[in-house]
Amino acid sequence: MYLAETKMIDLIKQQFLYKVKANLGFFFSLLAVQSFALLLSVNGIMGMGTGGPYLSINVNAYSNDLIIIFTMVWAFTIAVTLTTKEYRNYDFTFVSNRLTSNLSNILYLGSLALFSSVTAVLTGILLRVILFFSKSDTILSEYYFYISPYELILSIFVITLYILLLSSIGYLAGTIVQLYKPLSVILPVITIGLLIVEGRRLGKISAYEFFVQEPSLFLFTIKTLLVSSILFGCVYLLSNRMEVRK
Amino acid sequence: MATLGFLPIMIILFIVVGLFFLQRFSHHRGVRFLFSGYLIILLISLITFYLLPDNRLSKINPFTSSINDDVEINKFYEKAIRGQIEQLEDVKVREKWEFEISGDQLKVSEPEEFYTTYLFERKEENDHKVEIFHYASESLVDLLELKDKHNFTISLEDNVLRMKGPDPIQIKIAAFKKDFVINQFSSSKSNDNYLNSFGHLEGNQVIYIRVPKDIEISSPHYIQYVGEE
Repeated sequence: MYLAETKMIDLIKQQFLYKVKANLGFFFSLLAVQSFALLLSVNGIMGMGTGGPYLSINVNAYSNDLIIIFTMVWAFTIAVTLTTKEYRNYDFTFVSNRLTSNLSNILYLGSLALFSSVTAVLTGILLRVILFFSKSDTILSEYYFYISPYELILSIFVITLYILLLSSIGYLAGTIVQLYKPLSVILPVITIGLLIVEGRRLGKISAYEFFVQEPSLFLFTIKTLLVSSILFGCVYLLSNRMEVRK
Repeated sequence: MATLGFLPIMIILFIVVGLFFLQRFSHHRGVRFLFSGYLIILLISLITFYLLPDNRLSKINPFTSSINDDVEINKFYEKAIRGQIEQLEDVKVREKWEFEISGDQLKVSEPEEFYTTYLFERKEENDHKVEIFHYASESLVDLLELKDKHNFTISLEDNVLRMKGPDPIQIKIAAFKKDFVINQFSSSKSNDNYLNSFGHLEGNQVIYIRVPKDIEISSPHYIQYVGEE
């Protein structure tokens, strides 16, 4: 028993390290996505102006939100990509079963979540530094300009959880689609359709309220971890039904 | 909002196309070099950020948590017309003039683009002096210490009072919104979302013209006296 367990952990480790090395393209696409979001954010996300007779004021508002959202969508896409045939078959270059393959993928997605949230937050800092040194004719408001080290770590933590959640959704969706291809169309249509219907009928989206409007950090952490674990668990149950190298 | 809905789709397309091309180049040394460069830039910006001097930052907050500018404006003019302008806390005399006047007539001349309300107040006595006060509520002009560049020009010659507003100033402000991931859990939630009213930045102003008791005033516009509603 002891021997087998060690072997499994070694296997997961091996597969994980292999994934990090083999998929360097993911990191590069993260760079591309975050630079693109940075580029869009440098000009401000919204602007307003007023032209009084003696005083005309132009205000540009900046935010990290776009960078964070881009990173989240990136993570979702990566999670789906990992379930495609090409990537799944990587794992069978090693002695492997569904469990180690899934566990190494989850480990990999978790590390990507942490890494991408760190770079997302740091890109937000880069945005602030760029604005500080450019735009010499503009007055910079001190409100929310500074991010304390505590807020920095809080941001990284929260974004990691959000990304983990989105990755688990993407990973599950990808796996379902691998089981039955036509679902690749049906699944998004049903999901988006239901969201629209719920939004129209009830004027709210419960999934959004459940996570985004949760004011307690502790509850938010529990909720995201629990839901991601359930989703990852579903993937394991589903993929057990797959043939090897399907 | 319509364009925002397409944003995720655009990002996904962007990533998928990007991944397709990158698969071929991902082991290229240039890619690793570029990526390490990106990480180094991020680290440098982090260190720079915490060493930034704060002299470039201003206390101006362009966001408003509610749109109550109309209320503020109404309160300001109500008080001004009643002659109680000094009761308002953030209102100060920004400029002051005093002119000697002879004769019993005062003619007001203002250029077409004069937008500030002016009110007359008759003094108790005939002291042959016209005193003018420019009251202003706190605004960007105070915060940015632009008072010297933002003056009214008022003169009185041959019983003609000439008033001219300040030269227009253009001010550009950049401000950060609180990140939604921090805002979600902070005890003091920021509702600073509105950028659609700048009344609190522009401030309100009024000109009080105190004239001797028996002087006759002529103006191209309606003459509003303090205390007269």
